[in-house]
Amino acid sequence: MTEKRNGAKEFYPVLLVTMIVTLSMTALIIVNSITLPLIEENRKAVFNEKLAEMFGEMDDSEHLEELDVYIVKDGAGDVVGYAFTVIGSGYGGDIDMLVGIESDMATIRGLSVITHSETPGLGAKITEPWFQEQFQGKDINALALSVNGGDIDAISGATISSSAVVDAVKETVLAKIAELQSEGVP
Amino acid sequence: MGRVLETFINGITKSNPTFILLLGLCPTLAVSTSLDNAIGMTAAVMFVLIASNITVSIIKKFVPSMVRIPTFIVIIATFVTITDLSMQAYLPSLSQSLGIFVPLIVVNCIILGRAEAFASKNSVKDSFADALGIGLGFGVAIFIVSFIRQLLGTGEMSLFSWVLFKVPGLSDNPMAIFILPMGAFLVIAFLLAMFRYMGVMEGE
Repeated sequence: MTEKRNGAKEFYPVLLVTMIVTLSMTALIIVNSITLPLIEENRKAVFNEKLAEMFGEMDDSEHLEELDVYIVKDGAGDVVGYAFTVIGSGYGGDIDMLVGIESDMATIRGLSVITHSETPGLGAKITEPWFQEQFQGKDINALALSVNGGDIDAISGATISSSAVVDAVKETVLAKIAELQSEGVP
Repeated sequence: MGRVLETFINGITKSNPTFILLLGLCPTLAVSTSLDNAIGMTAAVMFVLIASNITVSIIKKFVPSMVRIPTFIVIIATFVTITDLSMQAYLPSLSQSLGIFVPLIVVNCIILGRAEAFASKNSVKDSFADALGIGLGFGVAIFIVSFIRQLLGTGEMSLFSWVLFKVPGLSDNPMAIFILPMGAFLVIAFLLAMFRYMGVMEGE
């Protein structure tokens, strides 16, 4: 008899915590389903704003859905460059970036971090202009941190964040360029 | 009623989380670069504090002390995530400038501290008053620090991209050190020393 009571007593905290976790998960699922489309929309707005900033003379951009590539065109309809979304895995989570390249498919036009969750004061410096401006005019094929023989200076104390950006940019952009060329896109 | 009011006022003065209890200094130091951040952070902390204090106070009878802390953390984390997602959806620019400090409210010792030290022992009404007082106390503190840092560090006062006033001379050559992390330590240290000297905020 006493044994049974003890058993129930020991089981109670487990049941309670399970119940609380279930309740909080339900609440979060509801909140997430409401906010997710809005967050996506905000992200897109920031992306478009940065895209317009990067390609000053942009008049038109075409989005290839299946490749997730933006082909940026000027007023005359000529291609001035391409833009890609690049997701790198940083120290604190995904680093979501916009990378633009010139129409030669090699020179980097610019890099802009859209969202990240790196450590403030260290990895979060990837959002600072001096870091992002280093990428301008560099050849994508030779992109590397200066410790690896390239000419991108890493952020001191934030090697993981710095190399996450460089590696993800190089890998993703080269892969997308190859896909673009194989599909024969202008 | 007197007790509720006293609990509320204590949160701002006698047990001010920042200046007396010295709790939750990390967000205070980090996001107090502008008044906008201070207001946004206060709103987020207040919401989480009130919601978690009330919830903890309601369920305190059912929670065995063995699983107390995990339960509180789950409750706090839920409210913080709700706050974070709503901010990202409705106030994207504020969410961008507060960055990681919104999700970090989960481990803010003010919130867990009040759940553990107050809400788990007191009635819902008192816990609400305590959360409101402590939340406002945190707000007042971060507001004062931000005001000084923004004033000296940028030379102008602005609120939600609406410039209130500029200090002649200072706005051309602002003392940028106050915007940097070091400025936060300096300002908080001087404020603490000043409050102690004046005896305005004598601890218990």
